[in-house]
Amino acid sequence: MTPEIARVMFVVLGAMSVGSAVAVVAGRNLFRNILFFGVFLLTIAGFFFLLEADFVALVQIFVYAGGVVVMLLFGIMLTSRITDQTVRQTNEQQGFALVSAALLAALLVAVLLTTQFPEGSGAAPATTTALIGKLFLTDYLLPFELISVLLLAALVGALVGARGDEPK
Amino acid sequence: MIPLAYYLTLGAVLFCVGLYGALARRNAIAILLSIEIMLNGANINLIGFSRVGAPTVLSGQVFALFVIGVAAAEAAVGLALILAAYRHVNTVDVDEINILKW
Repeated sequence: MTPEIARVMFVVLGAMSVGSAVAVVAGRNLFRNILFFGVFLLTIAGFFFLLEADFVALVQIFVYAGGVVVMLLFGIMLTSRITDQTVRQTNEQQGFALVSAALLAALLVAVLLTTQFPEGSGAAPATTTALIGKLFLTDYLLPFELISVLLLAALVGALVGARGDEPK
Repeated sequence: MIPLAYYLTLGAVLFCVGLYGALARRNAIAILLSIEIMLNGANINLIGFSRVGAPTVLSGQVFALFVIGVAAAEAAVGLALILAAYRHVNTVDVDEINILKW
């Protein structure tokens, strides 16, 4: 990929991701919020492709855009009411939240754009999957096993929490 | 090659958009969505550092995969908690779920 194409893709993906993120947090219709969240996740996967992290990008599409979005859609279908679209979607802290988030963003951007980050040398591996698999089973074996326990606990916990009362 | 600072700036902006949503939204599921946006902003930082800082070592990508796994678990448990609360108080509006206050 030539640098010009990469730059154009970065600008387009950046505009899409920030725009869809704003649509998620500022929109009134919860269903549309979740659809924009799906768009947001796909643009993030695009950034991962741009950064040559192909395996992470595919996991992002499978797990997030495939799994989490569907689960959230089930969540709103089980909990929302007809009146929900007419009620106010923000609480009375909205102004303070906007100011503090904007200040934090300004601070972070000012720091990031003036800092010199070290740059490593060498090319990225052509296929990342094999190397990631090796890392999972060598350097990161303990966290890898721990996350499988965490996922099992989350599975059981979500079932128990969502099941409700036993039918008598 | 796009400079690393651009990716980090993008991650910071997305994090702050999610922060605003988590602070200001009333619907519990919308708060969950905002937290997921914040986690994705952090993931862009991790992948960006991995690509530019140490291209031959993929530790940053492994971290991002862990974050994705924990975020999926968090969404599942969070939704289960929201459903359980909805059955008790018949709302997902966090301003109205105040039965632990007196």
